[in-house]
Amino acid sequence: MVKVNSDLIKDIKKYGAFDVSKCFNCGNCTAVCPLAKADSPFPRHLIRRAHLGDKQAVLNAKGTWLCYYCGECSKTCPREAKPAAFMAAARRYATAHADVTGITKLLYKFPVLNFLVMSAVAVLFGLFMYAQRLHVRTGEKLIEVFNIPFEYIHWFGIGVMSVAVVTLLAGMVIITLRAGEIQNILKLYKEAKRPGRNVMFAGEFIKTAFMSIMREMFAFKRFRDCDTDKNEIVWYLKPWLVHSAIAWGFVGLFLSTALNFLIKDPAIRVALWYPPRFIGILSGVMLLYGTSVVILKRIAAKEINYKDSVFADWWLILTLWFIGLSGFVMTMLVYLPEVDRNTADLLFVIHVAPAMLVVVMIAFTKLAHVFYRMHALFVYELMGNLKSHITNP
Amino acid sequence: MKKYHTVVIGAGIAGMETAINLGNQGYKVLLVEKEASIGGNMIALSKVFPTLDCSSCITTPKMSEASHHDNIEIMTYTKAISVIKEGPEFNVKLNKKPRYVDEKTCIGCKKCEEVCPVYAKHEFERETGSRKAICIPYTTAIPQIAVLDPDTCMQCGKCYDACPTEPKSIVFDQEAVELEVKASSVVMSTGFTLTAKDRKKEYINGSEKNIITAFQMERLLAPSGPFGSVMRPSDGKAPENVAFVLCAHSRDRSIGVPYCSRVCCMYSIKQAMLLSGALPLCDITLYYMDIRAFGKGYEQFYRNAEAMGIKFIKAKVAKMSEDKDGIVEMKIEEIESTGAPVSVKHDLVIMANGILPGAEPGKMASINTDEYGFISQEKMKYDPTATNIDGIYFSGTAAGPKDIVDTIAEAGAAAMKAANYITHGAGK
Ligand SMILES: Cc1cc2nc3c(=O)[nH]c(=O)nc-3n(C[C@H](O)[C@H](O)[C@H](O)COP(=O)(O)OP(=O)(O)OC[C@H]3O[C@@H](n4cnc5c(N)ncnc54)[C@H](O)[C@@H]3O)c2cc1C
Ligand code: SF4
Ligand code: SF4
Repeated sequence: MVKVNSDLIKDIKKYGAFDVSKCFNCGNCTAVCPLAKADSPFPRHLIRRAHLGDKQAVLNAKGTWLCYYCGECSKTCPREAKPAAFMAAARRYATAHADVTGITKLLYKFPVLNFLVMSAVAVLFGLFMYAQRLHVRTGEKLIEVFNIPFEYIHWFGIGVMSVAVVTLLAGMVIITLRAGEIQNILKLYKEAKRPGRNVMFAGEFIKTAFMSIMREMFAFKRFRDCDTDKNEIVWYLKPWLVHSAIAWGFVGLFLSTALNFLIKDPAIRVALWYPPRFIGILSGVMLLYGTSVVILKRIAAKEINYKDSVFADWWLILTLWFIGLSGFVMTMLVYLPEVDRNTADLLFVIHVAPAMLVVVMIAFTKLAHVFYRMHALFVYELMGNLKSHITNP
Repeated sequence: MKKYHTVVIGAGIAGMETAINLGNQGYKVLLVEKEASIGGNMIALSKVFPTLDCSSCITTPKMSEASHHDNIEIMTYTKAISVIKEGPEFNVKLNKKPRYVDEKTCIGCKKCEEVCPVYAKHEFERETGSRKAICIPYTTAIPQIAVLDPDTCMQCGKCYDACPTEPKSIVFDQEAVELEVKASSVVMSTGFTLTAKDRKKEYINGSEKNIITAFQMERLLAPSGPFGSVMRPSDGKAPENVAFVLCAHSRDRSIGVPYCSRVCCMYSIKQAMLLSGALPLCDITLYYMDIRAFGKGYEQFYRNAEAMGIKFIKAKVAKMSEDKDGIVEMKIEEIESTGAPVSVKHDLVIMANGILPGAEPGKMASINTDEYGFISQEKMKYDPTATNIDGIYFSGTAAGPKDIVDTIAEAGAAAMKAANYITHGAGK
């Protein structure tokens, strides 16, 4: 039994979904959605739960993670209630409520605060790194100009990072609990292992679920199912392709940067085919391409899935674009003749600070969806496999 | 320039009733109709809710009453172009389209129709049947004068040879005529038209045959219809599992028709009942958002349909597609049970099309209309048939979707208002 609570929808609306109360519960959105399934109906089902005040139903919904915002529901909603924007808001809401620190909630609800915090952290990172570079190069200690001992800053950084990592892990635990009702998981598993039953091992279950997630992640399977405007958009502008470009571009850049640092000094001139460099350039191009397309689409606001952008969307896409661009300029500089060391250092900081920011703040930004979505789908898949195995071994 | 007390624009049930009311009081009326026959949409209906009277049985007497009335002059195939107020009176510009048949000499013998070798889609049958390139518009049309359709005619001349009148009634070089008349008052009863079949692309993509419009269903059900029975357009089989999709083109912002078309729930229930009478073994399901049984006795009508075994499922149909066997698959959410998205299959689907204005009364007479083009009811509560211009009144669906009961009531009110204006307002 749930008590009716009209505050829930008001709260969710702080994360977007401004028009969703126009909904008159016709079910068109669920019926038209290429991803809604019988065991996880959405959007209407969730819209209704949200209006009734059933917070747990909204948080526990698998649908939140299944939806890729193709916008088909919003395009055909007879009330123009923007169910897809509601799903995005529900996703933000679910993400924010998986953050035990409560920081994500604040950042989503107060865009100005979000901007200030992000900028401050970026500047802090930048200063820290610039100081370090300066120190290495000239022995000069910039930090002491501000009278802050170097170690403090160092440990502060480590602290922030730890909070972020712990938050992210805690978030995943929370999502696991939401998906499976832990006692339920254990009960199911025990039952599955009753003697006399020919049961797959837990490893098998995990493997099956894991494979499906990999398909999802590497090929964006569902995202492609979402591609309902088969002929309206040219292939290189398809949302799933653009999204893959960004995702893989980002992962690639991350890897190549790590490799670079491990193998050699990143500022050394090497042949372009040298693996870290090659991966780096390729990924950079992908990231820049993807982010540029999305930015233009968000500005144009013509396609329904790029219409109702909130601050968090803008912040992430612009930051990623900036990282891609500055990385590109930096790589160019390595191959140009004489560049003043100080300029090079500055450029390095301008590139790395936002990159660090994105990685470190991952638990509190839109980027958390990478972990949460993957993890949620993995857990739901696992639960599903377990259940179906028990009911018909 | 000829002068009338009232020009009534549009000879549907609204216009005819208005004209008859005025004519009975002794006023001279010109009833203008752009189609080749008077009667409007109602004459094409099968039976009418909630009484299930035969529609042509109650429309035809009105048509003949109007056409035989001493005080009513009828101009068919004539479109009203503009209404301009000059002092208290009005100048009405008309365009008489060429019929290619002389109205004075044609005796309606149908000889031309018999010999014409061309078959074309029949507008009156809402394209469910066919007609000849020259024909009497339909059996009960008034006037019974042939019309030649220049778009499909191949000019073989057979009709000319067959025509028994002297001189020949077929006039291949007839031209449109511009006319202007004067009137002390004007009543707009320009009626409605239905949304185009392909208004919502999620339903119709082009080749679907077994998804038909509400009006096509009216014709299939009408005793005077093209086949005399209900059959699937794709193969002529009697359907076994029929769906009615309510609000198909209404209450849907995504296609620009956010308002309720008012009569669709009721006419769909009526059609379902008639179908169940015609094909007793047929499974019938209505998919609805809510049932709006708005008039006296209408709720009972709806309950009766339920009691007859017609299934009512609450769901907005999201998508339709037709396979090669002509089976239509529809996507809906099971709102009342699991909330799951499911597919349902039917072998004939009838869309409850939305109601749009039948003309552009706002442009024609520079009267106020709402954003959809229906005439604005400026004084809805105390002068419901008035427009913003004194001397111009309206009746029927020109001002918004409504049923025949309300249309007839408005027609009487508009006639009374026009009469008042003629005797007092226009100073005559
Ligand atoms: C499928 C269907 C089933 C229905 N079933 C029922 C039912 O069972 N019971 C019920 O009560 N109601 C029913 N209705 C509603 C009913 O049809 C309408 O209420 C009624 O026909 C409205 O009549 P009208 O005279 O206002 O409009 P119309 O019948 O549209 O008449 C308007 C006339 O004006 C003419 N016209 C337009 N512009 C011009 C111009 N510029 N110059 C000259 N002439 C012009 C048109 O050609 C037309 O003949 C149904 C409607 C539909 C769509
Ligand atoms: S399609 Fe729109 S109105 Fe219908 S249930 Fe979904 S959000 Fe609500
Ligand atoms: S002339 Fe035209 S209308 Fe007449 S019979 Fe030939 S095809 Fe038919």
